[in-house]
Amino acid sequence: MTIASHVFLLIFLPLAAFAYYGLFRRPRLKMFFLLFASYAFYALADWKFLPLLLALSFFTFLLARRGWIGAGVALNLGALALFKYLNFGIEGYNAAMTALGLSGAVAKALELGLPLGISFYVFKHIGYLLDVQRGRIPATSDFWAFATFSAYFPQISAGPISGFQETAEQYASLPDRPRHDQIYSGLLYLSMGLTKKVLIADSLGTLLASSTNSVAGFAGAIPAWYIVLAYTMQLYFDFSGYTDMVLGVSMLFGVTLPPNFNSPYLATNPGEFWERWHMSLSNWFNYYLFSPMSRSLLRKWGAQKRDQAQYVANLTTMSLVGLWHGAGLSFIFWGLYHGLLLNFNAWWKRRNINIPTWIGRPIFLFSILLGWAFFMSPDSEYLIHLFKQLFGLGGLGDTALLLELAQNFATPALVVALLLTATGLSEASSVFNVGQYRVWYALFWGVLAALSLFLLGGQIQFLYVQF
Amino acid sequence: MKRYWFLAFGLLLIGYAAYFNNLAVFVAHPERISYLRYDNTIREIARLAILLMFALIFVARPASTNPDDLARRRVSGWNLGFWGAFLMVVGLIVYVNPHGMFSWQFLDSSSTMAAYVPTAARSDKVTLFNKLEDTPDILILGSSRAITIPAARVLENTGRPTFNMAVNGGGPLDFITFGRFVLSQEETPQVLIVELVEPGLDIEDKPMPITMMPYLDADKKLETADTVFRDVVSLQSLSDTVYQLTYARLSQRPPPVMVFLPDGSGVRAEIAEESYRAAFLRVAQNLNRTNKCRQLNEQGMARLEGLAALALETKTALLFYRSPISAEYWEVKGSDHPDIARCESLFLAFISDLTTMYPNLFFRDLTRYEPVASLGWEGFYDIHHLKPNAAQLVVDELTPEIIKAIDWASAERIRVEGQ
Repeated sequence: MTIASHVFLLIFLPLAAFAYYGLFRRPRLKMFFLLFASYAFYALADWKFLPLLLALSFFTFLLARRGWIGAGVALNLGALALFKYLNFGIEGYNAAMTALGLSGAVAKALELGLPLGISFYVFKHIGYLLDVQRGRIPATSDFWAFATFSAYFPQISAGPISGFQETAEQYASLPDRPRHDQIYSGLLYLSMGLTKKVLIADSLGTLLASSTNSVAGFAGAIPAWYIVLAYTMQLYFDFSGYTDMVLGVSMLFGVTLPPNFNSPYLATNPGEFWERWHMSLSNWFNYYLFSPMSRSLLRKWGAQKRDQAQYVANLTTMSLVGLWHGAGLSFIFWGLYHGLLLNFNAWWKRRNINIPTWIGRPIFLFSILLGWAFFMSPDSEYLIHLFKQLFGLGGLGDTALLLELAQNFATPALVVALLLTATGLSEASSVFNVGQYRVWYALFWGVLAALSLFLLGGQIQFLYVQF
Repeated sequence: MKRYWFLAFGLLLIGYAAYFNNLAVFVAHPERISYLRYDNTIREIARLAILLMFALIFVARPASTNPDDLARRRVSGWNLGFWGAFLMVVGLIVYVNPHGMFSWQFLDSSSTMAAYVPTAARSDKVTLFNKLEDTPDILILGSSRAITIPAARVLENTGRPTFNMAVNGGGPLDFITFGRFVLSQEETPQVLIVELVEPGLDIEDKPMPITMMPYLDADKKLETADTVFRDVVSLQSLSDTVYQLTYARLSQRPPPVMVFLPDGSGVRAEIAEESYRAAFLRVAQNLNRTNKCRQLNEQGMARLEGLAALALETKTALLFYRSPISAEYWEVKGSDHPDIARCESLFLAFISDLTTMYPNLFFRDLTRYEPVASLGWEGFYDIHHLKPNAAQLVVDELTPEIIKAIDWASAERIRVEGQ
């Protein structure tokens, strides 16, 4: 079960909301209900790994109480490494052994599976442990609040990554009755997110999952750019649609979660892009890795090597951001590429070189698209083919293929995606900039959400759930 | 200014829909459009309409005030829109019941649907069966290979009323479910003729209509409930509902792929020899896969054994048979191919064990039955789907076994009544 499934939207969510407001009045009881609903959600989605979630929550809580922060961080990172990165390490080891002619020494990959949301809840745990270590917050004595924070069902699958203090504070003052303004905001976020996901992202995803998006499937610069642009929009609309739904569902229960997106493609430089793209993750890396590392390097190297310290911190942080997205070289290269973009931008700024926005933005967007070309490539053969086509080495493109792409439903979906992105209306918060206060507007969104449910039959998962 | 971009796009989208979906042909010449084309067009239009709504929502003007006291009304407005639209569409789908998920059929059922939708195929057969005045003495179960077996010929040869309940993709799940269904009736058939498709018994379970829920195992009951739920809230169902409501009622439409007689026997539309060749190659690939196996599917074996036990309990005879396959296939493939031979021997050993254990079980293997297998284009629609003349020959060849099975069931039933 995911939050974009019929079972969740038509059964789980209405039942949970009715029980939440109908059966319980006291915030504490409501919090216990949220915890129960969260474990039920997790069990329905991935019951095998529920004990792992329970154990990590319990030991993180316990180790923070005892002040054994290092052990807590190691435990969480160890779980992440075991389930997400071990096989990547084994593959690398096997490749090295084979290259050395020691094919008898290769190790067998483990079939452990990837626990749902592990990358997200482990980062929430580590953030909490580091906040306790720095004295930003005291170690909580309320295990149930921590367990609810850890497993909170709207955000368990793919974030956003929130801080314990901001989230747990809200558990103490959960509304005893539905607040209509908050419920209405939640419904609009949910409607916008669902529509973005099923109408735009899945339509683009269907094309990208077809044989057209393969080495043999397309040739020429126009189809190649079309595919990269479609992927760019699919990823954004999928993940931001998911986040809108999460924020909306959470608002229905009176809990506000941090936003993840703020029109990232309207950014004019790489630094601004990372302030607008997957904000909860980039804030996490900025707060817990980049800033401490920069400070430490500055202390070690001195102020005269300030630039170098920033460059190293940028490259290290962004490589790890790439690695966080998946155990694969393409993700690491993508992260490094963004580290280089950030360094180039920092170098540029230091020299006070001014470029008009109308030149700077297209160049920046071009570099972002190239980054997604790395990110989307499943193997080196595809990557080489894609780059050759992008730079015109395969001509402009076959007319029959162009006509086929034009006829595909992905094309109007792509146009709407571009229109929304360019006008800054692609975020759920933007729906409040148009006819928010009219009753007919609410009704129209309700109809749109209902009809979107009928498009929800495909097998396309949220992209970020896999990371 | 932003609003006008969306307005312009909305107008463009309408033009796009009209151009690329050939709406003019769609309206003026529906007879040129096949079911699949129709289905695709309806789905595409539905998606474009929702996309259009999505684009036009951004044309709304900002409201100048934010009256907080209207918050409750806005929530009510959203709920009205959501549940109103949702229940209206779901209500229409449930009423029309395009995939035969439910027991009712208020509109004329489209036989085209049964050719494409597994639940509709099963539901149609159950509906036809329920329309019979008396329970037939002989019931035919099986896959698409048995669909064209003429029940009338069985009646002619044996004097016993017969009903053909074979369905597209029929496998052990269908046999045990339909078996439980017919054997739970007050009057039960004396003989069940079961055509077995794959020697490996590894046939994917097809979704069952909700009417068959009482006859399913617990896990399949849950799966069926889930399938019905997801099917009702799907664009495919919406599209097929529109098909049932509009296209199927038009006077001009292409002939259906198959029609069913009241005795359940299917009559397929004739095909050209070129289509036969294309279908032959396509199906041959599939047959290569299904004729090879390392072991028999355990669930399939258990279901067949369950059917045999249930039939024995109700003193019903079972005649398992395998339908002829075109000799051209064996010439190309070689019947002694080791992968095929291993699967065959596993299958035959299993059937041999079953016939030893269950005295009500009879078996005939007509896979290489020469008078039919040698007919080629004259007797097959492709590699294994039988034309009427070939289906008749199969019935004639099976008749002695059918009579033996009837005799066994009659004798057992008389013996039980005598006690």
